[in-house]
Amino acid sequence: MTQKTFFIRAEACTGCEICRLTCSLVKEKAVNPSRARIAVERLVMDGLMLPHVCLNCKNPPCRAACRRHAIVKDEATGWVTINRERCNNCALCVAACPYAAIVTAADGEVLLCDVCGGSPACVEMCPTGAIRFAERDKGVAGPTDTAAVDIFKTE
Amino acid sequence: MERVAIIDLTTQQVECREIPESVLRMYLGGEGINTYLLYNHLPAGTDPLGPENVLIFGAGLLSGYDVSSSRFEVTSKSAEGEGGFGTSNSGGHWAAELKLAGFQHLVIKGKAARPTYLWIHDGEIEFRDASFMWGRDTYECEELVRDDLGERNVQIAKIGQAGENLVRFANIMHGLKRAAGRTGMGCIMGSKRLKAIAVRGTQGLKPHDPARLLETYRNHYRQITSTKIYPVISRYGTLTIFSVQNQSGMISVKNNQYNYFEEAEGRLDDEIFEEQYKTKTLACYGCPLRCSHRYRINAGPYAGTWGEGPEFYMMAGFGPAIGNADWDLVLAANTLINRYGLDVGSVSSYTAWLMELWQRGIVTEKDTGGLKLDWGNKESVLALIHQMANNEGLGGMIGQRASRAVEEFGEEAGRYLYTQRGMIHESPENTRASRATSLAAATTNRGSDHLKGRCALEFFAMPEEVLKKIYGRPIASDFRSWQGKPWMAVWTQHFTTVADSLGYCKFATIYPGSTHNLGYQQFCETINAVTGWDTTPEELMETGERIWNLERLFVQRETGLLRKGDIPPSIYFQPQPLEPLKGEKLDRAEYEKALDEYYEIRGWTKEGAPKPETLARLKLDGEPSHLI
Repeated sequence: MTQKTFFIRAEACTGCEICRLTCSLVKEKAVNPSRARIAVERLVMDGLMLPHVCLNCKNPPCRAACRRHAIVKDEATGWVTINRERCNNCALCVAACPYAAIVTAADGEVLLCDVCGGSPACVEMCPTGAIRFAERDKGVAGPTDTAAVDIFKTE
Repeated sequence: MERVAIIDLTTQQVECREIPESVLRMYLGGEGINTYLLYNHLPAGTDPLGPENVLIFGAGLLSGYDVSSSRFEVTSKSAEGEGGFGTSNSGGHWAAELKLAGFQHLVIKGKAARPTYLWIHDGEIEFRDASFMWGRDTYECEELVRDDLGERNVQIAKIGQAGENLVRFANIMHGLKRAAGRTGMGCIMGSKRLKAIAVRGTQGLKPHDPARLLETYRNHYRQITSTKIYPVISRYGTLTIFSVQNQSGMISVKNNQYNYFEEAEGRLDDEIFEEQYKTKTLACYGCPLRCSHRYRINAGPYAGTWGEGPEFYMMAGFGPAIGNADWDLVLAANTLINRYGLDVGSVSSYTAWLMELWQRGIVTEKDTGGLKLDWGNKESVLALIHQMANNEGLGGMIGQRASRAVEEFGEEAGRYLYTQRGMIHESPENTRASRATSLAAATTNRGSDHLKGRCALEFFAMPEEVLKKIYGRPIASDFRSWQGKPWMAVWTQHFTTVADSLGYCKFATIYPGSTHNLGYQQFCETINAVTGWDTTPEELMETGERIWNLERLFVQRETGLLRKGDIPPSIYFQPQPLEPLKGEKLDRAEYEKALDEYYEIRGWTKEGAPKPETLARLKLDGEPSHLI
């Protein structure tokens, strides 16, 4: 089975926060970007907006860092999620993530993307295609035979 | 429940009050509740620059909740006009952040003893010393405030040197380009020694029905992104209007002496900006339209200059209005103006006026301190901006006196100064050929205001059946006809007022000319999901009318200027000299007749005052009510 994960093209991110607004409505039933499972690093002076979301690493450093075995990677789908019952919000995973993709809410709760079960709402709503959910073996570069195909191309 | 914070800078006291639901429903938020608060909190006859004036910030009722609903309104007694109604609207991320921090409105009173900024976070309001950034521009403040707070995720509204130096047309700026301009809200903020308001919220907004809001949100997103205007506006923003306006002969050239600027062809257009200057596209909170652009000038005398913007108004104001067709100058001026926190419309209009006075020999080198004000003179244009912001020389005098500067030059100079309600006419605006827009912009409460008055659907020669469906009454499809236009003006004024009270960006609504964008029906859907109210389009239209009438009551109370203030600038009654639309002008008798009809529709007297029965119908007969 092909596994899907997120790909980010920060260059196209306008910093509109629609992804975070949507995520918080889906996951929190409230409008609260600070509790979204996707973060946008806003470098205002540079005009750079950098989305950070779990890339579902093959060998997740967050899983290795967690002492309570609360982070699980599904072998079939490849998705990395938090088992809330085991997690005590110690945030070791936050420190371990090389992509700054695990969010700590204002109250200290650790929040991790669960890809909405396979069709992420943030991707659906991104107006510029800056975040994509695609087969992981395509990567951003993609294989040679599809080098001319841009996976970020807007339909 | 939405809250308002009443902040006294003199005593450093804060009082938080809940906004009663009855007031929310009658005035919504943003411009509506700002006006209500202004009418209730401002003692009549106050000096605009005195500590008794109140400066009111308001996020829209729906700010933060829906697509493209990220706007806030700043309202006060005007510094720029003749002490009339001062109000201005800005996008960005500030409004949503203010709501997330727990407030919909801020009423700022008094005057700080030293430069101060406010730090508002999750229901807390702190007064902080701003001495370290007094004298710094708005770009610098973006970094200095974050540095002072040790917080990256703050949103900041602030003034530059122009506001500190009490320039009558200083803006309140947010981010690098978002501006609450016109009527000098930055001047009022400077008079209170308030440098900035930084906000941050993590509390979250709880809609009445989250599932319905998500569905509404998705639907509105799809609606906005499937219009014909979307691919254009998301690429060029408002710059795309420029060529259309110019080629239709509806632009101001050299202080409205001409109506078409041939030199701009192939030099000043959106494509050239896109290819040569644009470096990045950015968006306001929750908005797919992404009409903000970063730019950098790579060669020439301004090489290395960078910034964000510009809009059509910058392009036209520092283009044809001052006789310039060079993008470099437009962008260099844009960066300066935004850093200083000056208003584009007023700065370019006064520059254009001075240049016409120079052309006619009314102003000479003796008056300008050596500046040569020939049309499009780049050094002089930039020098005037520096002077205005720093209160030096000729520019400084204009900045301090605004339209009263005419007294310095004598009567002849006054013939070329186009003002309305003491506000200089926005330099790029030349809509005398289109009747509804002329009437609607001239009858606005702050004066000469395209943001309330632009009846964009008038320009497209739409079939009358379509117009009737939208406006509910017969409207002539020819923009030069007066038939139905007073009603079109009234309708547009109410619609834009409702959008500004809910917090919607007008580009996402039917205002700029796409009938498929958001309208009253969609506003009601979001209101229902957020508050649970069963608001109807009819109720919203009446709300728009209520707010409009309360603003009019304010204008009546503070200035007494009614019918006399509702007349477009004198140049609109003179024929345009060039094709296209050569010879077009407003006819005075026709205009007065249309104004009579406009007052009649509104339920106002011949003099332009709301009649008692109109006030009773709109439940305004009890104002001021001091409920908040």
